[in-house]
Amino acid sequence: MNNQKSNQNTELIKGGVMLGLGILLFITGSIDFNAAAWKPYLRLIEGIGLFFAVVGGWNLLQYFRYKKNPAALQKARIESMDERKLWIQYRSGNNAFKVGVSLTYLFLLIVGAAEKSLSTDLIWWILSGIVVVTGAVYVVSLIRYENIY
Amino acid sequence: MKNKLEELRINHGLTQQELAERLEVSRQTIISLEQGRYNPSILLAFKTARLFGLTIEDIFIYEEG
Repeated sequence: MNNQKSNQNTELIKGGVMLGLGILLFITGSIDFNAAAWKPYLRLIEGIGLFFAVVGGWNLLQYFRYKKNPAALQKARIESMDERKLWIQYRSGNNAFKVGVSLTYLFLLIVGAAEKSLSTDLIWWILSGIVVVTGAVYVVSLIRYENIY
Repeated sequence: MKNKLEELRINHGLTQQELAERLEVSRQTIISLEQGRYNPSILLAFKTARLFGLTIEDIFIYEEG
């Protein structure tokens, strides 16, 4: 019971802090400081704020859900600690890590060899592609291992 | 690795969901264990053995090769 309460409180603290921080960053990023040089950084801060606010809001929703239904908390705890699921996640993460690191290293070599002939746009798109491929490898591995084990 | 989990579970009148709850794992893990697709950790093997009042070797059969 104590464990359940501590899990609930963790969700509440995590959610509250992240939501608060997210809103603060979002507002800070939205303020027009009248300095053009700051604008890209302010947009970045705004984006990070929005992300934190969404994650914090999600944690708070989970907290209220668990408070209303303690059985759901127990189920979620078991699901999140399930050894088979964790093992599948570790293996999938390992695959994604290997692919991500290899592609990034390869791309670094290419950028080094090309010196300054690659445009910033192209570099951005290739880096985005690496992120997407890494994520895809993780998801595909999860599905594959779910079917195997 | 083969095991007698399904047989023991049925003999004890437990459903897969009930066994999963007692061992604090998901029902999918019980299904995979019974089908011999997933090998349990030593901790889960001990918990399973204690639950049925047996030893690990009574439930899980290790075959070399």
